[in-house]
Amino acid sequence: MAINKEVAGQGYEQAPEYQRHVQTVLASYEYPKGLLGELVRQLADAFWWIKVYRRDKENLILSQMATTLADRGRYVEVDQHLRLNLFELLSSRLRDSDSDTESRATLDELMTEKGHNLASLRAEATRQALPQIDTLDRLIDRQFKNIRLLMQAHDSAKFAPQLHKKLELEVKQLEIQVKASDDDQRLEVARQ
Amino acid sequence: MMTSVSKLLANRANAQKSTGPKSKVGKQASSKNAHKHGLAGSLPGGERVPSNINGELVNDARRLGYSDEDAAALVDALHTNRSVILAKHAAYAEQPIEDKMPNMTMEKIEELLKWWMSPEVKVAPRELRYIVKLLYKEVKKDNDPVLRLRRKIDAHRKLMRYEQRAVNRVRRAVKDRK
Repeated sequence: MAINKEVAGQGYEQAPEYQRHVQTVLASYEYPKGLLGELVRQLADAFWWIKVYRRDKENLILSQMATTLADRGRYVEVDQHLRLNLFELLSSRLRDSDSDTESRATLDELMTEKGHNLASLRAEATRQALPQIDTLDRLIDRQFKNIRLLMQAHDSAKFAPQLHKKLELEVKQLEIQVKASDDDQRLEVARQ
Repeated sequence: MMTSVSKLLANRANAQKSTGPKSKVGKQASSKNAHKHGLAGSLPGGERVPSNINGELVNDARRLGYSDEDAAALVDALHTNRSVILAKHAAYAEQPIEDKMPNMTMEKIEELLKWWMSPEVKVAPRELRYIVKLLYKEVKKDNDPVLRLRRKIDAHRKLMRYEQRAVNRVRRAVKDRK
């Protein structure tokens, strides 16, 4: 199935492509271990879903375009093979990659038959898939929020011990200063 | 091939005709049918994670300056978010081939149903048509790539609120350091 690269079975997160992605993100954080490692892995997951949702959004529109072109009326079953071929054709056409003149002509012919050009067909497909596109946009937005929150969490967890130490030192220094000034005042009073 | 297809057809056809469980045990079992991920209920920390890993993470949190209580809360929040992540991956995983209805036309389904039914079984043509239609819906559900993709997107939409809650919990747990 060309429309969506899916991984069979339960272990989707075990897929090599996903594992590679997680490793790349971990590498950019210099392979943190333990708690920080888990935070970075969860961060990587949010990045991953943005990629998947964006790809699915495009696939949804393309397959809707293919369905519109393959549609032969209400009472005739959509030819799945034709739909898949059209999906591939549209996909290469929109990517501007080379497709043979015959395929181009077939596509143009089908679009003219339906009273569309590439732009209007895409607009129509987007309109039809709008509820799902809207959901995907919300999901992408959620991932961005997740990334922001997890990054904040990572930074707080990572840098807080250093900050804590720094604050402790500052407090100690202040205490010493206060004690010293108290001693000075006492000495001053004693002198007077 | 023929046996497994007919088995699938039989299972799904019988399921469509079912009027639901009658016994207490059956009712109890079917009450768990809608259970998808268990994220709505309480998730005891470390339930899905081996205790040694759990302990390691708690120790790591302590090393980062968290009190025992805060470290446990943080690890628990991370586990909850991990459960949401696993549920998301499971929702996007492709259905195993053996559970999928092969791509068939209505005529083929009818033919297979007739082949599968023993000659003694008398099914009214109207009932047969009804079963064929229901099975065809199932076939489309399993084989139409757009429908499958829509189903996955919808599953993620349903998980979104758990996701939001889980990530916010992680952020709060990291902040709550005494």
